[in-house]
Amino acid sequence: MRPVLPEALPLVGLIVEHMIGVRMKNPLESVAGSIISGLLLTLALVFFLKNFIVAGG
Amino acid sequence: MELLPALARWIHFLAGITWVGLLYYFNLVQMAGLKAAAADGTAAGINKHIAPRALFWFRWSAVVTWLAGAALLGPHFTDAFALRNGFELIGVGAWLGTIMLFNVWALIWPNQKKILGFVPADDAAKNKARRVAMLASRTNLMLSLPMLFFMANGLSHRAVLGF
Repeated sequence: MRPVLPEALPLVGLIVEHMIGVRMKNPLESVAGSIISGLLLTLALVFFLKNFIVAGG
Repeated sequence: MELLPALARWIHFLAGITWVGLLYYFNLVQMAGLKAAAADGTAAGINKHIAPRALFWFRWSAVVTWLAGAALLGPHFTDAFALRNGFELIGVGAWLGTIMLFNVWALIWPNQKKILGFVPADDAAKNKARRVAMLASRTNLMLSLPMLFFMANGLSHRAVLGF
């Protein structure tokens, strides 16, 4: 049986692969990886704005 | 409401929906569809009749979106891009949209011209162009999520975000 998780959620798959020492893949290779990356980037930018731009201004 | 900002906002939304809608069409439909069509020998029709039309509306709606957005920002254009004076959130959206516009005209369109045969390219160059265009398109798919978040929340939901 083929592993479902790395195909359905590539970023999660990448983290799991990384934890067990297997080479990481580019998340932009898949639509799901791109969307998860976009969500994480959104969170990172909100954190950055809140703590380093607005707070500093 | 003044007429010019109202028109700019309307055009910005219309063109933005066209642009991002086609971006999602490319990423969610056409890429997978072309792969399946190549396997059964029917990709030529998509490349000849669908892709050029989609790319025409894609690249020019990107330009109109950016210009209408710039008009909408008006005197606050520099405040937005400098992330200051209350325009921090919409400014991040503006930066992301600008990077996406750059990707369209500097990476996606020049490489699509090679893939579709509008400019001469051998098989190796076409394969490289496919890879670059795909990654640039996926990058824009990724950037569209925070871009739309900051565009949608930039001017009206600062309190909800806690700053």
